[in-house]
Amino acid sequence: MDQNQVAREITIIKQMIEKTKRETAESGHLFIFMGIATVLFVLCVGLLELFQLSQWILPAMIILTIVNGFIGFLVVTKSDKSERVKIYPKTVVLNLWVICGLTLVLLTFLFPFLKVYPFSALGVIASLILGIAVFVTGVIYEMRSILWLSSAWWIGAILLALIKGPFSFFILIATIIVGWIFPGFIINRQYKNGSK
Amino acid sequence: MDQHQILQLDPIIHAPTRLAILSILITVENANFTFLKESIGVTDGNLSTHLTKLESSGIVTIEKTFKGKKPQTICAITDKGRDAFKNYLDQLEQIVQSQKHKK
Repeated sequence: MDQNQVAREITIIKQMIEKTKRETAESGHLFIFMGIATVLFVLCVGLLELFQLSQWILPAMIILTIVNGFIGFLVVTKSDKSERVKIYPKTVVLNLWVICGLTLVLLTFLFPFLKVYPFSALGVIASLILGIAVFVTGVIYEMRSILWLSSAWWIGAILLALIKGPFSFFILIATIIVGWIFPGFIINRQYKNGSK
Repeated sequence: MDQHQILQLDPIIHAPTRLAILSILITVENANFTFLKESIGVTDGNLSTHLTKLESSGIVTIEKTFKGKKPQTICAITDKGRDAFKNYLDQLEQIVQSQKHKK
C-alpha cells in the first residue's frame, strides 16, 4: 500500500460520507407546511372571535386539528416509505414534534375544559412548548440561526401574557411566522445548498 | 509504509467496496440495500457478497423486512464494526503520518 492507495481510500470514505449526507438532509417541507397550517388555524379562530361567532370556534378548532393531523400523518408516512437511509437526528426530531403535537392537543382540548387554566392562557403555554421544540430542533440540526429564532416563542409568550384582546392573535401569528416558518425556510435553504 | 503496517490493516475492511459500505453505515442508523448499491456503484451480486462477508465477521447486521408490500434489506453497523472502522481510520492516519516523517 503506497501513498496513492491511502489517498484513494480516504477519497472513498469522503465520497461515501458526502453522498449519505445529501441523501439524509432534511428538506424542511413538513416544518413549513405545519407552520402555515397553524397560522391558518389561529387566523380562523381569530376571525371567528372577531365576528362574534364564538359558538363555531370549538368545532372549527376540532376540524382543523383533525385535518392538520391527518395531512401531517400522510406526509410522514409517505416520506417514511421512500426513506432509504435512517439517521438518529431525523428520528429524534420526528418524535419530538409528534410528542409536542400530542401535548398541544391535550393543552387545547382537555385541560382548559377541566378548568386547569383559562382558555386565554393557551397561547402562552403553547408558545413555551413550541419554543422548546424549535430550540431542540436547532440543537439537533446544529443550526445557530434556528436557536436564535426559537427565542421568538418566549418573547411571544411574554407579549401574549401582557397584551389581551384581538391583538393577541396578531402576536401569535407573528410568533409562528418568525419561530416556525422561518426556521423551516432555513432548513430548506441548507437542503437546497447541500444537494447542489 | 512498511510491510509491518500493511499487515496490521484489517483485511475485512481493506477492500474498496467494503470500505465504502462501512463509510456509509458508520454515519447512519441503517441504510437499505438499494441505497448502498447506488451510492457505491456495484452490482447486486457484488454488494451481496461483500455484505455477507461483513455480516459473517460480525461487523454489520442484515435484516430482511417489508415496507408495505415491498421486501427490503436493511443494513446496519454493529458496535464491533464501529470499533473496527475506528481502528482502521487510526491505522490509515498512522500510515499518513509515517509517510510524512519519511519525506
